[in-house]
Amino acid sequence: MLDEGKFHTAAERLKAKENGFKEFDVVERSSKPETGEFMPSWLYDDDYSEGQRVKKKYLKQYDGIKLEEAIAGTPLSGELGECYVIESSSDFTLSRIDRENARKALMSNMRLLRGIGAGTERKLIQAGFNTISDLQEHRRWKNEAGRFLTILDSGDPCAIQSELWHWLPKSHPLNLHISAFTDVEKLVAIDIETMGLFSRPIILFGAAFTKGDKIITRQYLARDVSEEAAAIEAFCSLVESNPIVSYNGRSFDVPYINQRRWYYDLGGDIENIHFDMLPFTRRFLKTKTPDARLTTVEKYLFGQERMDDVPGALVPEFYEEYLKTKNPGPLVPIIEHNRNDLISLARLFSKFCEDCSNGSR
Amino acid sequence: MGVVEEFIRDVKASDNYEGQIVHVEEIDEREPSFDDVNHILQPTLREYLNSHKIRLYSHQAKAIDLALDGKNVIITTPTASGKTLAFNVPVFEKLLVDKKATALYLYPMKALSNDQLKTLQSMDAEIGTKAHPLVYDGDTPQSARAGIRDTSRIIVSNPYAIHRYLSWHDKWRRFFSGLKYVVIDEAHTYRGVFGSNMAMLIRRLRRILKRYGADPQFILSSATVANPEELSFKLTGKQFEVVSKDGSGRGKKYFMFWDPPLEGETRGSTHQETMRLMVNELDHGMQTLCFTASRKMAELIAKWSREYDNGRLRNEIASYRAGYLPEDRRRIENDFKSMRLKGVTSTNALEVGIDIGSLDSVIISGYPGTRISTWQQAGRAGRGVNESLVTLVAFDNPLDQFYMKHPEQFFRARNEEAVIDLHNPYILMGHLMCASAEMPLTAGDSAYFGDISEVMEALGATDIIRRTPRGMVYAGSKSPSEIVSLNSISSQTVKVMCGSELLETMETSRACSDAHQGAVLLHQGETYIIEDLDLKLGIAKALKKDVDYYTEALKLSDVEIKKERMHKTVNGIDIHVGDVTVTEQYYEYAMKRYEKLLGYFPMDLPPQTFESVAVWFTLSEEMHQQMLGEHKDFNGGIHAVEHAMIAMSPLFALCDRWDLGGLSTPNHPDTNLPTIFIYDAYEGGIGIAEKCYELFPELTKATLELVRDCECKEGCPACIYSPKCGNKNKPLNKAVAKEILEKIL
Repeated sequence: MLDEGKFHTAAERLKAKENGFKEFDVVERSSKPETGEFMPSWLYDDDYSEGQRVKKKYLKQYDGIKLEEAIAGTPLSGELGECYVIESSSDFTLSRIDRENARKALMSNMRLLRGIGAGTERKLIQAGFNTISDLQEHRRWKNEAGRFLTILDSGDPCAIQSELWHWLPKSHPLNLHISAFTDVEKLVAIDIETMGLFSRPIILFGAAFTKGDKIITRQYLARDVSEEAAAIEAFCSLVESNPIVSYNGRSFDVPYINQRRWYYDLGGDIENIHFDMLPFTRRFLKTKTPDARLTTVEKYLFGQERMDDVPGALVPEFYEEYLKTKNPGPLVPIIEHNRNDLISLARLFSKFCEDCSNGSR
Repeated sequence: MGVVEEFIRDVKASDNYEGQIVHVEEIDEREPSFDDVNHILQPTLREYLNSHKIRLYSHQAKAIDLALDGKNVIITTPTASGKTLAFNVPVFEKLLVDKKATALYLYPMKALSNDQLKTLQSMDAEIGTKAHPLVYDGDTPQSARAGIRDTSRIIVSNPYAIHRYLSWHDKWRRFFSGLKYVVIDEAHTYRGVFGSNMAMLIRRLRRILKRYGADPQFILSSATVANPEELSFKLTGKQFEVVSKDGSGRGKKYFMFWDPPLEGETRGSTHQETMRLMVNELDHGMQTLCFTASRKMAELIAKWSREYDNGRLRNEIASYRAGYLPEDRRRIENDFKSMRLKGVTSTNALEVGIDIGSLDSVIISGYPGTRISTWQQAGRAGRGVNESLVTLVAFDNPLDQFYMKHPEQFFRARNEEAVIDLHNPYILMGHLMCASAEMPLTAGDSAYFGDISEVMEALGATDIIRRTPRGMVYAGSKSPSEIVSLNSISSQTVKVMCGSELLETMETSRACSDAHQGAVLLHQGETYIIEDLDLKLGIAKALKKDVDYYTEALKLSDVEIKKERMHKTVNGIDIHVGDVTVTEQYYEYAMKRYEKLLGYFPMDLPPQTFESVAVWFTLSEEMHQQMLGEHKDFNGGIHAVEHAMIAMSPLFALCDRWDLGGLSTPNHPDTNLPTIFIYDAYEGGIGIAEKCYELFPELTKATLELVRDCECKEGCPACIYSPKCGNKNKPLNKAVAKEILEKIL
């Protein structure tokens, strides 16, 4: 009863509906988009045209070249199939917050106790109580102080983070001190590249971790949509239950990976202790930069300028171009962009920890 | 003599009575029939019923027992028969027994969700289920969402929300894995395009639930349709028990049919008649609620009646709508309860909600289009066991006039059949695309959607979904739940925008007819003028404006038969149903005020071609030649039959005459015979033409009755004229149409 031709027409129509559709707005450089919605929902017009230029350039450069030749990497086989692993290594030293200093910083903030606001804190200081430790002697506050100390000394950074979030905004630098209560040398920076804003495949899973005086990036590429599941597994095996650091990962990367895990019925959510650098950065930068994009931040803080970068919002069309033409050209800037993001993220974390330790935060 | 009898007597005896009362149906009072459930209920639930002095009606007890037996149930008893309790009891029983059990309530409109929520929350508090019933939809603040998903055991939502959230099923897994009941209220509203989309959505939901180990029971509550088994099965894919025998009590009800008097060839103004009736009823001491199709008319009728006779009733009548500020609504409701306000005008029943309560009298100004809506509105009349009056005031159009002349068709005939089409390729494809973004699409999904191998192929060929070892994975550049709208067929759509507000989304073909430049669009009772229609961009710009005229676009159609599916012969006439290609060209529109033509205006739109489904029948060449030989206007006859048949279709299938289009020709290139086509005016078909094929003999009979019994001499809007006729209702011949129809039967 159902005519075959009918379905092809219908499918063509659906495709036409989304062709030319972009999940982002192109805005003038001079305009100031709301910073409520973060990337990749808007893109400066000059970044957009630059992105198109980059796409053309790499398509031309890699025309006729196979992926494995264009991009150095290793196929990785697992239970869920194969994916492609790309590694790099560079010099890097991770600064960290000393555990004792972190403890001191948290303890000296009596407002972390339920019921103590600015007024009460002032009165307590006048009365000679300066730290939460001191309050263990205070008749009224000793229970709360005891409760807080139990959490602090529990060895569970997630619990400490939950507790702090009751009293402090997520952007407050004191939250970063929690990293001192983790195995921070096992910290993994994460960043994913996707085909859109949720419900679409993740095509690149980027991870970075330190080893001695080096930082290693390991990127898991899905050379086709069919490799996504394998890439998820491989990536999550690396991340394990280590502390993670991300940029907007709380709203994007982690829920996205979780959604894809359940899409493939792999089960399990990422529940690692997670430091999302975006809120900290926004608070720190305020109006110093026009926006809080990672590329903007790294330029401001580290003077880094990227060559041939692909803006996150254009990754879907770069990848689709690769799928359509089998030309690996568009993948090259995606991988490089992701690698740069990972390294900048690690540098950002390191710098903020350093500043915290120096007391300048 | 009761108040109502007295009123009717007075009306008939009055000087200016012109015989408008064409029928009074006396619906006898009925004692309620009580029963109790066979299952033993949990103590707190039983205590709840006892403390509220609730005695269960027989249909409530039956529905509850069936649900507790593990069956899917569809309840089709009338409005105000206590259907809500019938589904709440099994849900609460289950939630008391199983601490992990959850229930999902779906409403087509948000206003209804909120009413139900209050009831659920008070039940939860009294029964102690600790279910935390809450609404979860587009208006739920972000900060509250995780909490509701993670802790509520009763969630109230709507199809539009579920459509968007299904791809987030990982966040819903606690709620989904414990899901024991899905309650769908107002199930009859899921018809036509919306119904087919909902049917696909429910299948997507069931597919995901299976992954989490859930296979909930469905409880549907619906107005009375002729085919509840079919409706429930098509909507959900499951088998149902039907509970239709109403056990609730009611007082005596008088249902009066009021036809505005003939003035020459046309009838008097329906709304003026309504206004005078309302004033009259108020003078007889009856509190009256008046329903109209548009807010504008509701306000006008209120205004006229307030101004009547030097405004002596000016403080006793108000218009009412859900959009008023809460304090205004409360004021009107209180004034009504305290009898300070005697008359209220409003648009359909849903607007009024339950807060206004019941009244002595309801006036329905103009047939609402379906018997279901009419009975729902009529259901507001009657306080407890007191007698009440319902008056239906007719418009001068085919359906209204047909019922005026054949009231038994309204009161005694079978109800309309609900129509849901599961095979529209565009709708099916859109939802499969969504499904592929929720879980990889596999051949196993045929269990829910039927054979989808061809669809998967076609989608795969465009790279919207891509083949992987795990199934087809969605890889499009747009989130599929944003491309697929539950109110359209997912092909080419037009967004009607008022400023930055989206009023509605419609098919391109519908936009040509309803949202062309200069059109007056009625949306939720308010009127808008369309300033511009850009088909390429898919945007129509609307401006809110109070106007008293309306527009009707005229179209010319062409139909090409692609493939016949079935045919049958009835009384020697060959009837077929199959796939067709339709081309519609809207070229002009008429501007009218109260049925008076103000003028025609040109339109500049390209022809719309789409695939659809049609029913068609042919007449013999002998009949054609014979009639021509007798100098009869054959073309006028078949054209009139086409119009009349389309006008009568809503009698049998739950639809609107505008859901259909038609073509009549003395010689069609594909049949070489005189042919009349009736096609679904929706791309891909929506099941109405198929229903007409099924019920063809009944449809033809009703069409003949319409044409034969209309008092006009040569045709009028009440029988064979169609407001949207592209040929400006020429040629039309009533006598020949009658002859043709008699020959067919």
